[in-house]
Amino acid sequence: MAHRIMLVDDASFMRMMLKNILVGSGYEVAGEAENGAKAVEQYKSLKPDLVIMDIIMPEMGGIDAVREIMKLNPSAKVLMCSSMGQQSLVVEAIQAGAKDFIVKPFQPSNVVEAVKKALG
Amino acid sequence: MGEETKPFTDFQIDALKEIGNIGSGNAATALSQMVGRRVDMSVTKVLVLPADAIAGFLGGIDKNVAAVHMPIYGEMLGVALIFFPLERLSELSSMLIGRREEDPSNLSELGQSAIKELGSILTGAYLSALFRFCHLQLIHGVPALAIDMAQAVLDTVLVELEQREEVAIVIETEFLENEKQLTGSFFLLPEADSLKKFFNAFSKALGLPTDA
Amino acid sequence: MPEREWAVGIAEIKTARSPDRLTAYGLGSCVGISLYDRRNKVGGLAHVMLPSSLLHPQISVPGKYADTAIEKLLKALLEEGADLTALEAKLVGGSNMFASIIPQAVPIGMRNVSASRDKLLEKGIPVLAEEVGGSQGRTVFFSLFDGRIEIRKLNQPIQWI
Repeated sequence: MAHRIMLVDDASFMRMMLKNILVGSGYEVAGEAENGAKAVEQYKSLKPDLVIMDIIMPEMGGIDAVREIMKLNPSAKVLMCSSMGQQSLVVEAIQAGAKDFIVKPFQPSNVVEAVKKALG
Repeated sequence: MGEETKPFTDFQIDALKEIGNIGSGNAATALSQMVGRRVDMSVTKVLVLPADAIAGFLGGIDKNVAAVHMPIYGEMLGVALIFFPLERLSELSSMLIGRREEDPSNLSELGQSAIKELGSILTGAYLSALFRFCHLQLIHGVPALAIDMAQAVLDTVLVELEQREEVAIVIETEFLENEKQLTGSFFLLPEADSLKKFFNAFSKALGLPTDA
Repeated sequence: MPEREWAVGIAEIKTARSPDRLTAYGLGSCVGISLYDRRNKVGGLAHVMLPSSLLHPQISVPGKYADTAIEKLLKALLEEGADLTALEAKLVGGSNMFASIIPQAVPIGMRNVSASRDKLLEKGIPVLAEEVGGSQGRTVFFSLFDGRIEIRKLNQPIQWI
C-alpha cells in the first residue's frame, strides 16, 4: 500500500512539482494545504504518513505548524522545504520536531531519498 | 531621512559584483533545475542606485514590469524585488509550468505561483551569497507578484519603507537559455535604519573601517 | 501659448495655471490630491506618501504627509491668487499592490485616501471625484484648462474624472 503524504506550501506551483515527483515514485498525495493553519486542520482528518512542509507561508508558517502537529501526534513525520538562504529557520523547525529538510528547487532524487529516509 | 547615504567605493562595488556572481551561480543552478533545461547566468551590472533612479534603470517611468516582492527581515529590514521584463513573462511562465500562456498580464494561477516561486528562489540564491560574504543573516518572506508600471511598484515600495530617499543594491543578471536571453534584476532595498548595518557588515568583511 | 506639463514626484507639491498640466507618474499607495479653482483656472497637485505628520516627530518634507501637504498646497495656491473658498478637490491613487494574503487592518493606500478626505473636509473643500483603491498603479494628468483628470492604468481603458 502506498505511503500517504500531505503537501503544504503556499505556492501551488511547488505543490504541483512535488506531487509529480512523489506520484512518479509510487507515493500517494493524500492532501494539500496552502498554509500552516490549514495543514494542522487537515492533519487531524487525513492522518498522513508524512508531511512535506514549506517554512515560509502566510497565516501560519512551517515552524509553528510543525509544533502544532507534534502536539497532535508526537510521532508525526514532517519534512521541511526551504529556499537557499532560509536554512537558519530549518534548524528551528528541526528543534520543533521536523525530521529533515530539502532545499528548493527540488532535485527529484534528493526528494525521494529524503522521503524514504523520513518514512524509515 | 536621517543618515547620509555613504557612497560605495569601487572596492565595495567589486565585492558586490563577487556576491552577484556567486549568487547568480547558485541561481543559475536553481533555475536550470526548475525549467529542466540548462540556463546560464551572467551578472551584467552591479550598482547602488538612489531610489529616484530606479524607474529609469528599469526602462523609464512608463515601463511595465513584472515584480516579485518579498519582505526582508532578520539582521536587516527591507524589501527584495526581482523584476522581469513584462514582454518575456509568458515565455518564462511557459518554461516553468510547461503550458503556453498568451497574456503576460493575465497569467494563470499556476503561472503566477511559478513566477513568485522563481523570484523567491532567486532571492534566496543572492541572499545566501551575501551571507557567505558578510555573515548578515537575512530571511526573505512570502512573495507577492505585481504586474504594473515600474514607477508604481517603486512608489509602493518606498511608501512601505516609509522613506522618500532610499538606496537600492542592484544586481542585474542575464539569463541565457539555448541562446535565448532574458534579463532579470534583483534589487535589495534596506530600510534606512538598516542601511548602516548593511554597510558596516559589508565593510567589516572587506577589512575596512566601520562606523561606530 | 503652448501647454506645458509639470511632473509632481513623490512627496512633491506643485501649482500651475491653464493651459498647463500637472502629472503624477506611477501612483502606487501614494495619493494624488488635486485642487482646482475653476474661475481663475489655477490649481495644484500633491503626491502624498503617508497619512499623517503627527506620527512622525520630524517633518522633513511636508509633501510626504496628507495633512501637511494639503496645508502647503493651500498656501502655494493662495500665493498664486487662487480663491481658497472656491476650490474643488479630486483624489487618485491609494492602491494596495502587493495585496497580502492575510487580511490586514486598512492598507496604507486607503489610509492615505482617508487622511486626505479628512483633511479636505476640515478645510471645507469638496471632493468632486475619486478614483482610488484597487491594486493597480495609476498615472494621472491634471489639466488646469478645465480641471479634468486623465487616469491611465496598465491594460485598462483611459478614464477621466
